[in-house]
Amino acid sequence: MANVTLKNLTKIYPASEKNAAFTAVKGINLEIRDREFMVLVGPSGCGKSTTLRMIAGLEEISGGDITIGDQVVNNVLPKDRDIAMVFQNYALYPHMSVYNNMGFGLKLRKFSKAEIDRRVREAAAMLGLENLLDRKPKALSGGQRQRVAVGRAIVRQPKVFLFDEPLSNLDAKMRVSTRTEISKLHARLNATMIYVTHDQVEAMTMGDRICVMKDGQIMQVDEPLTLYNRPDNLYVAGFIGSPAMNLIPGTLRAESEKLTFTERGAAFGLELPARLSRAARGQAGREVILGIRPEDMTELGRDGNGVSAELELDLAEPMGAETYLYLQGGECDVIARVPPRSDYQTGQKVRLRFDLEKIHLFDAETELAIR
Amino acid sequence: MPSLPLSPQKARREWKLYFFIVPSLLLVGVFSYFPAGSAIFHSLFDWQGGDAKQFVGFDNFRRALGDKVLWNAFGTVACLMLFNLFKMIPSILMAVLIHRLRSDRWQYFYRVLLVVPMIVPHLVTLFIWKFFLDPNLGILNRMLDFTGGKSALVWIDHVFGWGIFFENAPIGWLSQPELILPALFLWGFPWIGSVGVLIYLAGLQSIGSEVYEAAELDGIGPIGKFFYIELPLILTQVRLSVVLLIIGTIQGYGLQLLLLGDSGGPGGRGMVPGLWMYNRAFIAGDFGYACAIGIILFIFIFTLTVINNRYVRVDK
Repeated sequence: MANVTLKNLTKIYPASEKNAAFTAVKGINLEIRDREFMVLVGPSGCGKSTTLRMIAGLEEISGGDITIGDQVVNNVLPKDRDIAMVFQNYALYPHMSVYNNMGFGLKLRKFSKAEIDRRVREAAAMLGLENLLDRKPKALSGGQRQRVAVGRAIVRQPKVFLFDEPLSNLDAKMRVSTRTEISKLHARLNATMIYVTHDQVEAMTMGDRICVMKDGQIMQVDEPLTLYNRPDNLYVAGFIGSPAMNLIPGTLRAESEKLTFTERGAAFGLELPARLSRAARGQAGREVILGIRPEDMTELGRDGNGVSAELELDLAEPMGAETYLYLQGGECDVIARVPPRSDYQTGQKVRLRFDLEKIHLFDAETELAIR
Repeated sequence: MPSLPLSPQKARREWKLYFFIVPSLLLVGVFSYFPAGSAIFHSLFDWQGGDAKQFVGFDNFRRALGDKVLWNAFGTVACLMLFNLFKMIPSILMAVLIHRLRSDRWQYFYRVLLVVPMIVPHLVTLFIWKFFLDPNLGILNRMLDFTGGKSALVWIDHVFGWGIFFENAPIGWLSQPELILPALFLWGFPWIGSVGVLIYLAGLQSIGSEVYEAAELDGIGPIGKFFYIELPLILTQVRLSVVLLIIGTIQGYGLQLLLLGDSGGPGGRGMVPGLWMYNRAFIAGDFGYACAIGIILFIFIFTLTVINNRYVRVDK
């Protein structure tokens, strides 16, 4: 097992006839600890897969260093990096049986037949593939194929496992079950794993830490709940969480000791708690963005006290255990997550109280959190 | 896809579609099936090409069974088949090399380079080769003279006592009986067939790039990549080539006719069944017998193709 360090890692695709030069990864620094499950998450084109492929050695690096264990591997061939990768499209050898698919890497590395057999059967047992060892990939379901791909990685007993969106081609149900299987596998193998996904639910549920990327840069690296509760910037705030955090533009005004926030369309105003008032003192009179998660709002009855905002209901989406209210007022759209009720009517006024301790403020210009 | 029986409603609705394939069917019938049927019919007759013919039953086939020239010709064609199977290798390697080029532009360039010769009529290519193999003016002999290859051949000849290559006489590739098979082997060097390469390339391009990457991570080398990944995955295409090659080799006689004449060159060493069929029909005027040879050829080709399809397994 080993830690992986990325230092000023850069990838530039040179200009071609059709495309201008493109910097896919912009000098990122990241330390992935030994035995850690690190998830790289971000929208497509953010550079997460490119980063993973550079770690694998499938993509040449344009600048910076990649260290696996104690060795800088910039110029080390993929096969000599002691890593194994699971691809989105499984990348199984179509003409080989499951057994041979799993044992092929070991065969090329001149392992004895007995050792190959032992490792393949052990991995097959771990993944529930014992009865499929003679089948060809085309006779397997998507989920089974992906398990074979994982098995192929396991038998190699590499220092680092790399996963490139391995669940994207599976149906929703299979995705959830394979997700938990991979998490369990991590606990069992105790290996360093780097996992790329665009799905923030996967990231939140699987990662020891999550690295959120955008436009070739790292936005924040943290444990899942820290990312959720203390996003460093507007992007992370909006990316992590479903439904996403409500981001409401407005201005700050100083009134004696305290600061008040007024929504841009003047739909509502709030007095900020002392913690935020202190932190945002210098921002008085400027445009900011207030963030609040849908579950940090409480719907008040007609006579409830402490109303933060009264907004108009566009749509109520009953989810069973809860209801999402799509609300509108001033220049903002807000989603609130409230206990289920079925008597909502479009156009009605909904009175909400914001949990002021859970409010976030972001600088409208730099998009960084104000703390 | 399972075929559905044609219901009366469907027939009423779609009769026009069926109607439109009638002309094609008619043409195929008249120009392909009728001559074939006619050949089967005429193989049972003593027929000189005119109106007069006499029914002889299976006499033509009995005659063929005892025809030494025909069976020698089958021997020759078996040799040519082995040559041609061997000649598939350069095309496969060429396709793999082109496929492995990283630059799309160079790949395109090589593909074009391969297609351009297809414009040259086959007949012209044959004439060029005839010229290459010419004893006095041909490039092959000149090159052998220039490089000292001829002296080497003469020396080897001397060691083994073949009596084929002599210091003072030009090598008669198409005029010395012993050299006819070697000349037919040399023909088409370096044996890179445009169509073959393009077929293999199509097969190679259907291999996903992730499979290559997975293999790279598994630690495969360039040669292993060929034997473990590329070759197994283009076996479908290779099999298609083998089928086409079997049919082409057994049927073909244009090469022999042009390079060696209608009697298969000196000593008839280049005689192949197709050429013998041609010879019997158009030189000897024995059309009934030529038809019988044609039928035998058909049976051979059909059997080999069935064997190939049924027993040469392609695992994919």
